[in-house]
Amino acid sequence: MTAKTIMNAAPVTLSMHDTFGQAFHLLMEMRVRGLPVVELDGHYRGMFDLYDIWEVLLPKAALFNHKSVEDLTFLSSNAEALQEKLADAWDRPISDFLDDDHSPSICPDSPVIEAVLQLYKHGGNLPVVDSKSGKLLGIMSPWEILARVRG
Amino acid sequence: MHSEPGAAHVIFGWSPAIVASVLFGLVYALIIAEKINRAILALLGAGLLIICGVINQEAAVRGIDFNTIGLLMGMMLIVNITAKCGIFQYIAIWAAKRVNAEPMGVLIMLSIVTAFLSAMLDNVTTVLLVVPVTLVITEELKVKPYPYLVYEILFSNIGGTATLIGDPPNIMIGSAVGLTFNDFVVNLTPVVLVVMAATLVPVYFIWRKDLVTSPEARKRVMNFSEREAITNPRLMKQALAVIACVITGFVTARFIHLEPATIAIFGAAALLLLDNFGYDAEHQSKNVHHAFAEVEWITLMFFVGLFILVHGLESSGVIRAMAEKLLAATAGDRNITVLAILWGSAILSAFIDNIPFVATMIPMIKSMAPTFGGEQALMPFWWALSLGACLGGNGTLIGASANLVVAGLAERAGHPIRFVPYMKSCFLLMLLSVAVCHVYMVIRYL
Repeated sequence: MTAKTIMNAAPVTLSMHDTFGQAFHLLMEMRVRGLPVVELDGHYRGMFDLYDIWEVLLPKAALFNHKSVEDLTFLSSNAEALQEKLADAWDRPISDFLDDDHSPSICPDSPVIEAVLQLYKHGGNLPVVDSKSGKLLGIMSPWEILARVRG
Repeated sequence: MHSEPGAAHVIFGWSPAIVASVLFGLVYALIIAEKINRAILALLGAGLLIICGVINQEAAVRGIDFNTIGLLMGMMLIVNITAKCGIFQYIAIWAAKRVNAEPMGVLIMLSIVTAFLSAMLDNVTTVLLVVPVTLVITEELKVKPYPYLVYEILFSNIGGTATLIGDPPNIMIGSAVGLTFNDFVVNLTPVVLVVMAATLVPVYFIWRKDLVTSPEARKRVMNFSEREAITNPRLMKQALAVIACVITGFVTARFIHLEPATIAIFGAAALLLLDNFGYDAEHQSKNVHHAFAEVEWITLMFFVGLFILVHGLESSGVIRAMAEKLLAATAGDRNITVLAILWGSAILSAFIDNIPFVATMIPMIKSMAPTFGGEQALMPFWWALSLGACLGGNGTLIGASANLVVAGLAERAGHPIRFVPYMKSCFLLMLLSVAVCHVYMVIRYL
């Protein structure tokens, strides 16, 4: 049982020129945690996911790894302040927001146990990418794996 | 040139002075090249010094100043445990609100907070704590964080100059010469206050136009609740009590006959006890492990290797020869030598790590005692070395560790601080601060 036998081979994708606002709408509409972003020729460029949205809403200093602002209770931001941040990002292309840290990919021939490990570590959906051509072949969601494991 | 008694013989019959100088020079050059971690280089150099037979292991261990190592380690533990409670964020937010979140006022207040904290803690920890809060505040105010971050760099190095525990060069000088916390406060704090005031004046002329915001943005910052920044009130009370005791210990060190390292490590152990009291063994192990992991071992191991390397230079007579050269250059004039140390240390520390520089200068200055009439006559030399080495770090972006840490955080926040623009303004500000110190030295000591 390899990744390509389980993946969804026709996933919904975003293009590099889509705006933050369009991607935001799509995630909300489909109720998914992230969508793959591809070039016109099908090259995989990363996942646009909820982390990218949280990063827009949070103060930049809260995104640092160590000894940063670990608690934001003191910052009594209201909904308007957050909406303002969203509005600033709305028309920018999603290429500005892609961040590979949270979205590893997997090869089509990888065993399913590798996919389980990646999902355990990173959550979300797992893009299946051809290591030679760099093209997106499909997406593995936790639900597809669980359905197959349950039998 | 002589060898220290008990030292082993150098391999192939080489001159100990030449082997020690070549190894030291090589390590120094590689540190400047920044291709290999400085702790690795210093320990490798120290190991080779012993393997080549310039000094034996016993002599190498004697060369390590455990008072410096212990004081640094103790303070790192205390600060890292204290940082968990949010007190430093509290102070920064409180300071910003005292000036009604007015951008220029916030810059001045955060600079002063940085200087104050740097005088009590190490500079890197200070900027790691203050910079993130600064970025939150400037983001809310919608002003460029650049001048704020640059001034936090400058004031972390200026504030660190004021006390024994503020900056590693002071810890090294204090330990090597037997100077107390009070000696530093009495001799350096006054001029540091003047340097702070002098450094703040140009802000108005350089960045006045950039430091404007809207009333709404100021209101957002005024709505920050500094009380909410305290995440662990119990730990805060314990940490503040321990820090108060440790500072009292430093101030009274001469009367209670304790070295600063003992006071700092005892304070750290007491804080660890308080922080872990009442928890089960597993929780304690995890917590204590985490506290020790936060200690900057790279810095401490760098010190260990460096002390051994410098001891090699000292025992093989190289340091004495260097001191004689410096004295020849200044014609043995005390005043010229003191001012040459002040300016030379500042310019060099802007480009090279001030820790190995000070480690080399200490034995050099000590060896000048007979020329200038005893150890007491050397006091102005120590103050000149401290002021030059600490303030010089402000000259360039690579002048001190804190500078690089701020630059790293600024880059990640999307507001990079570049080498040349920084140097254009800050090298002049550094020269201004050293000029202030020059006048102070002349009036008070020369």
